[in-house]
Amino acid sequence: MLSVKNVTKKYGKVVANNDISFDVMPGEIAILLGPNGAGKSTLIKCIAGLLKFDGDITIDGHPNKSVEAKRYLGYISEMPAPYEMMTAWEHMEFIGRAYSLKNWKEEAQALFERFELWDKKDKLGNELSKGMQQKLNICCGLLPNPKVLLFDEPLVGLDPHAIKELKAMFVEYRAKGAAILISTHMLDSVNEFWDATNIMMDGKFAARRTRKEVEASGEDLEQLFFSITEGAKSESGEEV
Amino acid sequence: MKATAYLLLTSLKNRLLALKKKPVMLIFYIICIACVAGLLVMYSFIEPTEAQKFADIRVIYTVVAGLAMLFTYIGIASGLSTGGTLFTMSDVTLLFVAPVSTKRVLIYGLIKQMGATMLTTVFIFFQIPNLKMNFDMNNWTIVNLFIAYALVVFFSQLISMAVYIYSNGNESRKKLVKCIMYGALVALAVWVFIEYKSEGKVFEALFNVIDSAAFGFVPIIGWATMFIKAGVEVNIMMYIVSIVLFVLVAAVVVIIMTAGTADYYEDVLLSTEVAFSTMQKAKDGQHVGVINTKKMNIKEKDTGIRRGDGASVLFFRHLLEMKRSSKIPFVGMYTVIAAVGAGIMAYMDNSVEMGYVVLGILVYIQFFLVAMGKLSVELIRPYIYLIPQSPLKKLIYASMTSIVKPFVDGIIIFGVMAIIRQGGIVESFFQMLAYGASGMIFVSFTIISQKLLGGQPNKVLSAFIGIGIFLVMIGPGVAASVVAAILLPEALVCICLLPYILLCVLWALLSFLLCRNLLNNMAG
Repeated sequence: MLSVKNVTKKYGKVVANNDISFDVMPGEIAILLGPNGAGKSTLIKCIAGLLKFDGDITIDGHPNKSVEAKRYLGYISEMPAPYEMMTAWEHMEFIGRAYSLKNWKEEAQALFERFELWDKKDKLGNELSKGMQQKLNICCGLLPNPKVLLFDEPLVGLDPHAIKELKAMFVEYRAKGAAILISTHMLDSVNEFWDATNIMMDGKFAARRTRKEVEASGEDLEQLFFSITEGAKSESGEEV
Repeated sequence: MKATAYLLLTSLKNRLLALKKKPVMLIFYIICIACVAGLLVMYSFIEPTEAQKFADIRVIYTVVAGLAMLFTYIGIASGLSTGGTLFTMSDVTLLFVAPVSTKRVLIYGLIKQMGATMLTTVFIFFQIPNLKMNFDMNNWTIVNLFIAYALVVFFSQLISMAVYIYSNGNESRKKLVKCIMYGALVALAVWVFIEYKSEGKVFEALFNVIDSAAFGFVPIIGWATMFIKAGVEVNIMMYIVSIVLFVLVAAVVVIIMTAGTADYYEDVLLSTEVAFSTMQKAKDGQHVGVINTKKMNIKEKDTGIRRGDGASVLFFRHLLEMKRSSKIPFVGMYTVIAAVGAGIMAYMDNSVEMGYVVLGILVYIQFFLVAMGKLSVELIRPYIYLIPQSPLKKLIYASMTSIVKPFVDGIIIFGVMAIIRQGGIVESFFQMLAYGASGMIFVSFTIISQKLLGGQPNKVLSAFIGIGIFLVMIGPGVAASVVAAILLPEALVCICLLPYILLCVLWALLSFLLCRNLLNNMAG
């Protein structure tokens, strides 16, 4: 579903992503972990089609920058930035039009009710609190019912109810066959449902494991993360 | 309705509807519109008398060329750093990732920008009586001014994006763009100089160059001037040529940015992020200041503050920061540009009065430099309030670089003028002192406004009160010096700036005394 092959992203001489390859299959939740500056957000932005890169990224077989690929992609950015002069509901209408969605209203209402935004639907973007803006950001990303979902630190700023709902939605979208990639620092928040983990260090994958592999080794996600990131300082990249 | 059209129209509709919730803003807009409408009705009756002698229309051409040059320079300079942007973060996170073609997205950005540009043309309305009475401009030529201004501002954004896309991350291309830009400037200066040599008068030479047919073909600056001339001289060919040049170049730039593998999303991303973070800071009431996105390679031997203990570390930290922005502390690019500019002015007009003109211009610029300077930034950060030292000591040390720099600049700038003028040493000395003392009054203003308005959440109210305070502070000194210049015998006019200097120093001492406990808490 999501295929990343030999992706290298350079900013001048700085290599932010170095020859990254991985796939996220339908019905899989992959997580992207790593310390600050590891290159996670850059990779997510490359996949979302916001950055130039060397290599290939395909979404359902289409090059990621093509209009076809974008129809299947949902991107939930780290920083919510709603249009200041559009109401929450008009954001949904905009997404409905941009993605040429049919019957988007029912879906939009269901999302707003789940995220407790229904009573805020007529508020302008600049009248919403940061948390509300992030909820709206998530609703915009989910409305097209994407086959591939990219989340960049999606839980930051959300209240406990929204966190609970979003976690439940990760599982629901997986059950519907979506390929989900989540970049996060909050290991606890993804512990219950991750299927594959990719740990990044200095722009490269320092380790890739499936849930089964980690459970078989007797470790948990946190132990794996610290053993890789702290161990990789001395033997960078050798554990992949 | 397509998604981008929906975005534009809905945002516009909501912007108007939002005014219902802000009655003060609504009244403000109604008053503005009523004023503009009233002015337009009134101006339509203004017609110059037959016998009236009009000012040289080439002055208008020169102003248009100057504005076009300024906007073009701003566009290129921003393209060489972060790039201009037609987009917001909302566009990046919602529109860029949507299945909408990049061409359509770019056209949406350009239309949005054109709308915003048209709003900034309002200031021309207030010049209409002047344009009609003094330059014999009719309604049509004034409309042309609006169009030319909008075109130039619009092109500034387009150039900024194009330069950024072309030169981003490529030092040799950046150098090439700089070479072309400065080369064009030097060529224009040489052109004016050659004309000056044969003409003998600076302004006449400048007017002749700008009025020449060849100047009309200088990109953007010349096209804008040609467009205005076409209206004044009722020359259809000049209209066609200038419009074709503008449209053709805009079309070529848009095609290049969206053609084939060209991908401008990444190129506008950084500038959009910078603009977004600046706006967020401004909304949160934080000091925006000058955002430096230039990467610096700091050598290990150049690291460390090394000197200072207690409050004095603030001064040495400022010195270190200055050293990183220019090789010689206190002498930066501004000093060089101001000194060269002042030198040229002195060369072209060696009267003592020119020194006062230069002083006035530079003091005006200095206000903004101090307002965005190290002291202002220091006062909005928490660290200075936490340092366990006497508040007065901290205030003095935090202000020191802001006080010393204008004196250093003053010595260089007015020293250069005195050397070129080969005379007027006493006047230059007092002008230098006045420039330095202005720095002191601006520092005093920063301190007093922080004391009185530091906790004021209403920024509009703060701005109004701030202007009032500023006028109370600087007004008496300026007035006293003007009176002194009128009353003093000719031999003593050279010291007419003395009252202004003394009042500036007095304000500085008074503000430090009155606000000695300013740094006890952040709210002033």
